[in-house]
Amino acid sequence: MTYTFSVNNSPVTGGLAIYNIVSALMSAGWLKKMDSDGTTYSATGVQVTSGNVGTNGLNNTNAWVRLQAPAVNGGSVVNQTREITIQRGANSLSWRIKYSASALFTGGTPGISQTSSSADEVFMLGGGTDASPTFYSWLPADGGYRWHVVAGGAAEFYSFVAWSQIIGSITGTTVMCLDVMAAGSFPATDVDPAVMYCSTNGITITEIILAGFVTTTQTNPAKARAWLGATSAAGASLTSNNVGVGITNYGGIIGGSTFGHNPWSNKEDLLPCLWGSAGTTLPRGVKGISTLFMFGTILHNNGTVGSFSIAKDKIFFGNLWFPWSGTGPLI
Amino acid sequence: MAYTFSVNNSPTTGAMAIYTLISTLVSAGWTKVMDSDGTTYSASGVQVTSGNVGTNGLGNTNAWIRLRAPVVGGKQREITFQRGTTSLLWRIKYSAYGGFIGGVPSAAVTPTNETVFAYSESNQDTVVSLQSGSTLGVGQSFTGTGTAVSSARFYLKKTTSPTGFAIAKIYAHSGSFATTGIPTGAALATSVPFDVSTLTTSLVLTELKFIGSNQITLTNATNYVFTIEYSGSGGTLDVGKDGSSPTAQGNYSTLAVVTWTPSTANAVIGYLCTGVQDEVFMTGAGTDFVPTFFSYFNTDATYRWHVAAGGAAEFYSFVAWSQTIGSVAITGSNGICLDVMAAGSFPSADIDPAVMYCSALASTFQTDFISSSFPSINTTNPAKARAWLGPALLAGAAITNCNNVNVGLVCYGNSVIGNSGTLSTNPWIFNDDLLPCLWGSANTASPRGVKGFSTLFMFGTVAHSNGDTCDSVSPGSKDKIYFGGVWIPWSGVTPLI
Repeated sequence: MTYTFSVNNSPVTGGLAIYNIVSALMSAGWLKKMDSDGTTYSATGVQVTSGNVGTNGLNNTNAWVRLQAPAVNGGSVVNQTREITIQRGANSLSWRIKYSASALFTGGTPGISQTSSSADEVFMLGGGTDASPTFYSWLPADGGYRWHVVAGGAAEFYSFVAWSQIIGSITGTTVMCLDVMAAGSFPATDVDPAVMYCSTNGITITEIILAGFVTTTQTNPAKARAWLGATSAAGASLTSNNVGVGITNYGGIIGGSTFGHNPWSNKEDLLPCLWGSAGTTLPRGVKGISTLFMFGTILHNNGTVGSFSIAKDKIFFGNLWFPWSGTGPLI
Repeated sequence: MAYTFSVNNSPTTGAMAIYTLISTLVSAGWTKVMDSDGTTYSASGVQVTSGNVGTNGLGNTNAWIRLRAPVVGGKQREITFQRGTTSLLWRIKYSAYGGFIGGVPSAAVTPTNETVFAYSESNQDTVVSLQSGSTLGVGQSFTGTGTAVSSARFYLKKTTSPTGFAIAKIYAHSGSFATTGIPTGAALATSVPFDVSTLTTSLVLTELKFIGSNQITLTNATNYVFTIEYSGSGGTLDVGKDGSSPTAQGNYSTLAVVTWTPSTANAVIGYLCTGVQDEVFMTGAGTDFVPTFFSYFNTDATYRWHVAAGGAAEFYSFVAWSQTIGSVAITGSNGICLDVMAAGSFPSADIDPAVMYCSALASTFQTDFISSSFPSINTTNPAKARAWLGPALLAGAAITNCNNVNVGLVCYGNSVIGNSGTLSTNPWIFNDDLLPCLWGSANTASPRGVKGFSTLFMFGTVAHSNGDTCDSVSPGSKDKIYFGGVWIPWSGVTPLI
């Protein structure tokens, strides 16, 4: 299965932007397992059907959805099923996002304003408790940005990425992704060969692309996290899990500046992106190779499209090439 | 096919070491095409059978071997090894696919790329001076071989300060071949003009290139004349010639005003090259007739010598390196490799997706070509790691003037992985992660950029002592060894220190 795209959107609210993610992921195979429009809770995930305000909408205070990816294999968990909950705060910019590597959001006391919980949940945005949640002001001002969603299928292990770009500008802002590591780039004992990322408000993924790996773990937003999943399954060397990771460039050159075209093809080369951590405590080291992103050897403006395998199949954003739909991007 | 190994050797001479490399490559599928033990030349490569001194040995002054790799991508790479006056001294040439099918190979002379006419610099005893108002050109008749001409090489120098350009030309032939042969009609092909002011006052073999429609195909058994012509002023363009009973094919002629005059008393020193001209020097220099050598090996019998030769799956990549006996230090080490880029890591237009490397004396991969940034300058004798090899004429629009530039492996991050520092073992398996090594060049002029990913080497995430082995295939497989900052294919045996 290839990518499912929902690009060049101009959502007038954050509720609509997030619902673009929800619907794109569902088109790619994800399930909406539970939800609430902030007034009515559904244990089967049939209450929220749009990003609007009011009944059946996600754009209401405390409205939330629980999404479940199709099962994938590769790590140590057989038929690993990742889940995400996304809950709206008091306004359309503020969100609370949790991630579960495989334990599922089947716990807690889900209700109209309370998300379910999981034994391996980590906060990507927001904090507090499910009963008393706090939120993070994450999205740009309503109506001021383009919004793009790319959702991978089975071949991409249901990786996805969503990002915004200010209308009329090449300025990138919010990014969210689940990047499941490329096959062969991680050990089979990894309980969750993936990176989950929610950017800082107004900052793109360049915040975690460094000449050295990330050394610190951030909270609210969590930025890029890895070695997720249950600590108890994390192996003897892992006294903790859930640490900040980043993408390291090549020699400080490729991934941060223009290096050069390939002399034979007169085109830029694409190179794999390596996730890892240089934190002072375990877990640290190499996580794996990105499924979603690639470095190029030329620096471009955000929104530049490239034709590599087919026409306009990648778009440059935040120093990386993202998958793209083949359409012309709107500025 | 997997790797063929010859490891833990303790050669008593450099010739034994090189012969170990050669015999391992032959075992992996390479062919010894020509050779010489320094006394007897074999056009079929059956003369050298050991690294010893004396008959059939490589351990003799000027002994040499020409090796050819199996076909990869429709082409065959070749290497020549020639020993100098001692076992430490070597001259190594590489051809991406032109092949060492020309020249005048003999007991002490290695072959070169194909030539339709060759008359060595060793025959030179005088010059003919060209300038406006005097002799304007000099030519030599020869017989075509049915191949396309690519360049002419003359033995040139300047006197005082000539300006302007010299041009090589090929003409149809009139007169009697080898006695009264002279050019006739308009030139059939003309070279790219050569700026004579760039010459020195010493004779240097200088190439003038034919490009595009001027790469004419010479009719087999038909006589032609190739010339060099110059009508500038300010000094003279001096062309090396043999003025004493020359033995070159054809005959000599000179141009005054518009009239060519033949002579049998002289012969032009030079070469008319056909086919693919792509030989590059990895160590040593000079000419095939007057070779110079590079002190490549450490003192005889002081080092271990390891060879890993890939098969078809590795595109016949190979690596050989030394390590001082009794030490894990990298001092005293040297190495050589042909690293053909991993499939999918280079564009299909690349005419030679490979890196050829010969180290400096007492040097290693780490100090020669692994860095936190790609190399930006070229080094010669030794060439160290070179890429964008193959004929410059076929190098495409982006490579207008040069090929054959230094490349290196770049670390991840500025120096996180690949600089012999330690990042970490993988938290899940408690082992190093192995990561692909990227070749490239940061030259200021094209060719530069990414070359491709190594087939031979991998970076690890933990620094080790040289000689440490790892098991990346299965427990106890010892299929890689750490040396000079990279993991190299290894045989599975315990390395000797």
